[in-house]
Amino acid sequence: MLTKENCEIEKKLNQIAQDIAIPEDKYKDAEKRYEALGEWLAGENSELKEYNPKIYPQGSFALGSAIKPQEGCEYDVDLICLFQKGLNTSNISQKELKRLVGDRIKAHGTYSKLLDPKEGSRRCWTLKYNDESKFHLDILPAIPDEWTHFSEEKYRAGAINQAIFITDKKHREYENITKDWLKSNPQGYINWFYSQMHEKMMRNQKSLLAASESVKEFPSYKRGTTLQKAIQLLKYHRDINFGHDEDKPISIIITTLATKAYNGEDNLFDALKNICANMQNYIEISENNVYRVENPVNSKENFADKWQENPRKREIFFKWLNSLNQLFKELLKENADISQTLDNAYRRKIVPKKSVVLSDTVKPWSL
Amino acid sequence: MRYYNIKGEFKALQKEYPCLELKYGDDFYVIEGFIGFSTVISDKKIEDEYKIKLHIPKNYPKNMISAYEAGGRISPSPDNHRNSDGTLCIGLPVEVARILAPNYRLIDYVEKILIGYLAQYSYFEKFKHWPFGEAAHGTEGIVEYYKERYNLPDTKSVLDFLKILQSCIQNRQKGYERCRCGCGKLYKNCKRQRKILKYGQKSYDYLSDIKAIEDWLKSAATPSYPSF
Repeated sequence: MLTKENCEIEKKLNQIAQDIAIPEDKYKDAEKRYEALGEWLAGENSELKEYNPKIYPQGSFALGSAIKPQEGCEYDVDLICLFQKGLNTSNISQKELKRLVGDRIKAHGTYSKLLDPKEGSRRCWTLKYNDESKFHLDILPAIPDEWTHFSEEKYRAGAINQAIFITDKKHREYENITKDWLKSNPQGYINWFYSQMHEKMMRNQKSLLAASESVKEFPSYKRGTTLQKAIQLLKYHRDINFGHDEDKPISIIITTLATKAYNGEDNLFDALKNICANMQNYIEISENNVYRVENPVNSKENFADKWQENPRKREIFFKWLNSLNQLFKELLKENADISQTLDNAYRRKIVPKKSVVLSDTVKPWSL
Repeated sequence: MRYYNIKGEFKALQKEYPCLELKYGDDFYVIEGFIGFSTVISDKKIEDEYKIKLHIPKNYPKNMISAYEAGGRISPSPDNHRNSDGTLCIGLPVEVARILAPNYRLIDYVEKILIGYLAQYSYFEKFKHWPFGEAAHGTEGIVEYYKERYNLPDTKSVLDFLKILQSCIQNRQKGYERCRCGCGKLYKNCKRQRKILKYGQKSYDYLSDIKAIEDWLKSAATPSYPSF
């Protein structure tokens, strides 16, 4: 339960979360656009139609944790274009798969103009929309993973059939027909995220949720939940305070640790406070001092693998986490100026409160 | 139509409320940003800030400004006086016109109308009741307003009064014409007319209120049958 002082913190945190969240209409806009793209790729005259392409979002857009981009930047929507049948590592190379998708995009007058760069990026094709919507779509061509390597890796039950192979220009076997492709499993991660969130919320708020939702299936792709808002605030805090640092904590680490540390709290204040206090307990440190943030879907993958070769990344992560825990200490002090403290932490423009005398006020009235 | 200097009005507004921006849309101007205020209502200090958006029609003040609370604090509900389309129900249009006339300055809209509402909402959030009461919903609220302001006994007299007001204000009578209020005197000699004109709003279109009240009376007269 929130105390009176914590209610103020809660209100302010929610205010900031509301400001930085991407508005619902932008989500709808992006959905319309990538669905239209999907229809073009799988269209009647498309040479890709026989491979049954499917487009789905990944990353923060799919997780509902996307935040408004910094000044001058654009919304980033990551998409997977998965060819569900007919293509596999024995009959196509990464380069060829990439080309197939690129050619189909270029065959469309409008999409062709939006393609930037024209030769494609390292792993995807990017469509940059010039209108006021200010977003770009990153399309990653993919084929299903062939499960030959799974005996080596502990895969989360049920996630195996969502695993995929994606292309990478810098991969040593980019131009060759080979079983060696870059592996990924965005759908598996997305499912893990939503099921974790739902499970923990059910555990903590059983009476609240059981009345409104089916126990058997988890709600598909909700937005605006407490955990999602907490992750948005964490990412935004990172952007504000370490945004220009190339060693800043990466979003997948923040999202994974926050989800593991989340305990189903229904208010933002408790959720954030507890996540910040407990996040580091989910970082494993092996005997030879190797830090691991394990991919919950694929135990062989370590999201913190770059911390080994570049210890500064690890230092910045703990520095950032420490600054968050300090922030909560400040907020919980007696007579803390909640508004000022949070505005400073998030470098929001302090809104001056003009003194106004109300006379002759109009009564509120609705139609 | 009188030219409305939106740039100049916004400049004056921004001086007092620096966290606001002006954008130019197709059908209306948009002002968005944050408004912070500190005031006193019923001896209680009310200090708050809101994220707001204003749509100002290009023919303002002919058409009124639509105000939105963009920070997700005021959920849509008649109790909060927020419509499902997001607009805030800030007050009866005729009351808003009375307060803003004749110059309809933007700073007046923000301070007298918008902040007036937001401060009341902050009070409502804290103390669970509206400090100055609420106007009745819909046309009933409009009728109540006129009854109170012009000391009229019932809806019919409100309608008659408004019709006179409308014809006198919108089509100004010549001094040598018979006064339309029905007193029998020449317009220039009718004292009642002077009073009406003094308290009416020249720029307000009473026709919409007249139509609303007529429709309301009609629907009240015909009983609605329950559907089977």
